[in-house]
Amino acid sequence: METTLTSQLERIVGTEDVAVSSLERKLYSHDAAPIPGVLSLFFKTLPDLIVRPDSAGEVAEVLRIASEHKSPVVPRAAGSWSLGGVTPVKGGIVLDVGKLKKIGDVSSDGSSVEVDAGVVWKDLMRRLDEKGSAVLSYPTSAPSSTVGGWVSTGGYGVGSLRHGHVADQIEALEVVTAQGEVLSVARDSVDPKMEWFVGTEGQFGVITKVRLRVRKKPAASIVRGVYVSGRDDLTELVRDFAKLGTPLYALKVLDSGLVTLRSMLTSGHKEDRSLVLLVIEGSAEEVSGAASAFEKIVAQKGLEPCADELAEAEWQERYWPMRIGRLGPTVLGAETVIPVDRLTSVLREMVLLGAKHDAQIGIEAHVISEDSVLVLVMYLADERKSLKYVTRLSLVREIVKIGLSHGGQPYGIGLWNSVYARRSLGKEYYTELRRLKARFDPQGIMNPGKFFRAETRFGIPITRAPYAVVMNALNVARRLQ
Amino acid sequence: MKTPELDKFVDETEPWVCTQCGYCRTVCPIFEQVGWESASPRGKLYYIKELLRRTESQQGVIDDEFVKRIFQCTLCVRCEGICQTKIDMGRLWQGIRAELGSRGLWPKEIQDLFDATVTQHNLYAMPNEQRTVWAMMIEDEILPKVGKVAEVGYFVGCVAAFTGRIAGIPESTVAILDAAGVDYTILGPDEWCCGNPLFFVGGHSAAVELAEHNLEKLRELGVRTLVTNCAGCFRSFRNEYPQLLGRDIGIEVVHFSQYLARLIEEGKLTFTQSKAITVTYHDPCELGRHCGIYDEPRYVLNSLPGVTLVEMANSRAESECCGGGGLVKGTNPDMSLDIAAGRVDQAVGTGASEIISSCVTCRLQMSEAARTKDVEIGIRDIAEFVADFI
Repeated sequence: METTLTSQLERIVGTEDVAVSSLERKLYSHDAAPIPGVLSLFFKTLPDLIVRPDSAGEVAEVLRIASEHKSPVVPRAAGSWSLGGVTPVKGGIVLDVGKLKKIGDVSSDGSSVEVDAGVVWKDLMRRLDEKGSAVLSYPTSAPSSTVGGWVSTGGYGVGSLRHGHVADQIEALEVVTAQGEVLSVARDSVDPKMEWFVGTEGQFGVITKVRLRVRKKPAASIVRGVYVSGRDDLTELVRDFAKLGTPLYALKVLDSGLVTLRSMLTSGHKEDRSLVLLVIEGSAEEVSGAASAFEKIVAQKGLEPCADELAEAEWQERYWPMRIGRLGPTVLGAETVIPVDRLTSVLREMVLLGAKHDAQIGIEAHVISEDSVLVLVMYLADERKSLKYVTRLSLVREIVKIGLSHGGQPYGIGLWNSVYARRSLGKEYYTELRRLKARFDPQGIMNPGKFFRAETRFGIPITRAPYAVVMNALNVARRLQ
Repeated sequence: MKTPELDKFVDETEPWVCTQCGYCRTVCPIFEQVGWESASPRGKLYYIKELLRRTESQQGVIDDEFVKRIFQCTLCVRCEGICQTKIDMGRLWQGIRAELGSRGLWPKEIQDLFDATVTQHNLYAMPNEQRTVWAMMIEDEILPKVGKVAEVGYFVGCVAAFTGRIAGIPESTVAILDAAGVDYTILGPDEWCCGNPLFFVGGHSAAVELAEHNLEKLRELGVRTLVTNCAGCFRSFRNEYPQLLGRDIGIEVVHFSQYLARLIEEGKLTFTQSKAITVTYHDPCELGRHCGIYDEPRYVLNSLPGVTLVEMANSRAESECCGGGGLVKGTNPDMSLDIAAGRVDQAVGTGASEIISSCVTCRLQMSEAARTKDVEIGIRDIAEFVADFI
């Protein structure tokens, strides 16, 4: 049957774009997170093959054939996430959208651009820049992550504070459903609704094209920074800065622990206080006005501003949050969205968690709206030390729990956060999405064994937290030794 | 699995700091061509980690496809610049190639090239006495330079010495040196390969003899400043030799583009011709990212009367590879040429009528790509271009 499936797919996309080699299958069996090998007892992470269609039509053909064979299909782009969204659970086909990378022209009114799902954000940003335009927001992983990947998963990043979630920036989507139907879904579409395909991690189909709202490149843009000792005043400070209003494009906190870790890697900037960075964009007048307001707040609070060139240099580093991995050698992380007024408390608890487990922790907090903050907690580990590494993995769950205890939500679901899906999505929406799953993917071939609930390769639901899964896996491994 | 050869090149933690973020995929010329994870730097690193994880009892075999992919790398090291954890990619790729070599896993093309370089002292397996074949038309002027004592030594390099199509590069170089009144020497048959093809595959121990020979011959002639057009020879003398031999080599190593800048600054090289022409400059990987030389070639071009320099979308540290490095030309000639064609296209996009580079291999690669893909744009080395202005 595998041979038939392979040859059928080869007829669609060509032999060059189907891979069955053991090396390739291994390389498409994971995302960015190093997962202990013992978990292969529970999950069939090795796909049967990988296919690279280069049009929506080919995607549709591939999905029709997969349906015929009842083969799981895992859509994948850059694979830069770490929640297991592209990690196969039940083998099957990995559908790589990397060949879908056409960037269309900006609309005549300059308000939108149509791009293929596999377009890398960095490439889109560069192309728009050449045309005097800019995206509204983008992920900090823009150097590798794709438009389709971000629309399917996270959606919060740089610029969210001003422009909201990526869902607010999409004019239309092209999606191929599990049954091979190519849908064009506009923003105002009632059935299907566009939101069903945003952030649902490939459960209903494969996003192949996105019409994104764009903006005119801002006339002026500056970066400002301020040092903060201790964490007590961070919440209030962030709230005050957030009131700077429209010209404030991004607001980010580098917690003191992260600043210290980063200082260990550079010969220049040595600092151990938290650093708050602001990006102010707009007309020259707007930027100048907001910069003055920033200076006033800093002076009133008696804080020390960061030198402008240092603030700019730190901002240029925004794409490389995992630099500290060199100190690990492994860096693990978890993200949670929390209410802004809980920032100080959450940071404190995260730091205590690190101390309790003797783990070096670095935290970035991105303010994504006046009310909420996306907290990225990174910590150092060593994947070469198997047993200790597995226990280190359990911190991911502890980090998410801290966020939850402060009224927060995990950021993204994938495989590892699927136990929180009901809570993340809300009971009602969760139920609606399950109903839609049955409609769009009646055979359950799309990215199975995750999102709604984690399942083992044998279809046994995992109702306990991933930590328990990992611990069980570890116990099994110990018994096998 | 123990990897004694790899360990000579990078710290044992180096492969482990890869975060699998995939940034490297977006700048890798090979991944751009192949598109499969196995061709990406992160894919290769993932498999290397798997090899390192193996215990002695699990040695097993090394996947043939992995071996193939390891030699599909131009060593342009653009992946290093974008890496989250700044992995020393250049050394790592050299080290893993050395590891494969120690296990008898090199592709035949690599082994042949290695053997030719070691035994014939040039990568073309040509009789080394023919090192001055490039000067066939100007023998009367060049032969007196061979083996004479002088403070400046001109190291021609295997590619320029044996490739008739680019004989214009050394011809132009000596014309410029003469015009500037530089007293220089040429090693001729005593010039051995700098060892760059061996360095590309981690064959450092075999390169010691070549390095010692070249340095000894240069010392005998009293050379204090070594000038070369070849970015690979330049990188070998400048970066590899001191590390390989564990000492300062005692000779100033200057790329010809730098030497041109020096001659212009010192007023020794003046231009009598003016040409209204728009050119773009291609930064060779081995001169740019490997050695940090970006400004001097631009200074030279901007000094030429009538010349307008325009930049490509990717230049300096972001420059795209010509596809000719890392011995990919030998193992994957078609892929190599396709990469060059991509770079030529980018140059055409600037509206320039010529691409100027500072590397014999880049010059060959892009000329071949333009010819086979029928693209109308001139391609010259900086020496050839500058010679037209004297």
